[in-house]
Amino acid sequence: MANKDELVQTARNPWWQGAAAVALVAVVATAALGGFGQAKSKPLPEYKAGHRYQGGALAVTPLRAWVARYKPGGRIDAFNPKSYLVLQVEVENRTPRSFSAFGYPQQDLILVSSKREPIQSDLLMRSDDHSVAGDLHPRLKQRIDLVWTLPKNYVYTPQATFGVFARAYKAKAYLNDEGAWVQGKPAAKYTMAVQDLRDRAVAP
Amino acid sequence: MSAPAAARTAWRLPRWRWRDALWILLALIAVVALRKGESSYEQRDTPLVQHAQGLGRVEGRNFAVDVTGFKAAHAYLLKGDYSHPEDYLLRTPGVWLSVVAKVEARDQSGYVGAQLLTRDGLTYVASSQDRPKLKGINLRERVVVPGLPESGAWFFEVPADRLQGAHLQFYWGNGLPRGGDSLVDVDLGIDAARARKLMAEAKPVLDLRP
Repeated sequence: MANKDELVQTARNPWWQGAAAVALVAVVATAALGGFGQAKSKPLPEYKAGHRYQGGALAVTPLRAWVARYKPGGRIDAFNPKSYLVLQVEVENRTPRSFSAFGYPQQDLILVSSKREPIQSDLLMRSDDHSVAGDLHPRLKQRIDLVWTLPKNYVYTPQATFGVFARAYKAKAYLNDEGAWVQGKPAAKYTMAVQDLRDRAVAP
Repeated sequence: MSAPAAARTAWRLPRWRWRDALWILLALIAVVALRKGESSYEQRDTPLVQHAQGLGRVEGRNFAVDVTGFKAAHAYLLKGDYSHPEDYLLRTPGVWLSVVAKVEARDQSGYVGAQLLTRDGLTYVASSQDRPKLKGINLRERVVVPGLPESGAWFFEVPADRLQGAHLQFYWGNGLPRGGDSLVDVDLGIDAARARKLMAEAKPVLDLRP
């Protein structure tokens, strides 16, 4: 066990003095910047249908949501009946280059489950001709239907919550210094009315 | 001196010397200077741009493209397929620009990529094989084999106000060209008057049915 002389000697050692000074400065700076305060969780801004949210790479305007027994433009599959939740959104690519609809839009525009977990859509289709959405080109607003296949035990609720993640350009996103549009934190949520169209045989 | 005291002396930290701090400072200055002088990722990965003007034949590494014309349209009328047999209209929120060309591979088989670069730096990649679905015409992702040139067209969806000053760019492969590979940049010569003429001649519906 160290005796008093050893402790005094250690305290006089400039290395330990330097380390203690650095630790003290770190503690004081953390306290001054509010690091020991209680973390504040900022509530997400909540929007209604028709509001445009611009989150860096994407600008989205959710328009309407519905539940049906067919995909947009499709028909009921009598052999394998399923239900689908559809969110129709106007999407604009705000980056300088075309990208796939199955990239950022699918990753950033999500359904929030009852357990508050993000669920990505299974399919993205163009609203006008119901083809599978391909590339989204810069500064062209395109209407897209995001489709979620619902579980067999799905219980209809007249409202659903959808979330949007921010995505910002980072100049040195990777170790090789390559830049990329990197997904950020949840940035907004939309509480949308969900139309029940399960009694219809023809798609909207 | 006792044995435990000798062991403690062996574990003692080295004495602080100002010379050490100087070495650390010099090392930090060297790291910062080297990082500042380092080329950026974009500089290291930039392709070799080969400029060309107007229509005609251009050559890049392993490919040649002969552009014979281009035209704009607001929508295409297409023939349906087995799943949707009815004819249908393919619209765009902008305008369609089709670029008619003949493509050759020179040494190895693969794809020739095409994109449109607007004067404000936006890049529009040629539309996919399914949009418009024109087998044997849409050049996107069409395999070209040396000795067997392919004719067809690339289709671009562009905002109508961004046609002026647009450049066509070609490269080998589906992804962007790697550093040092060729990127052929063709100035289509679309000035304000040409852009107005293109839009004036753009058909509301261009019939592309066979």
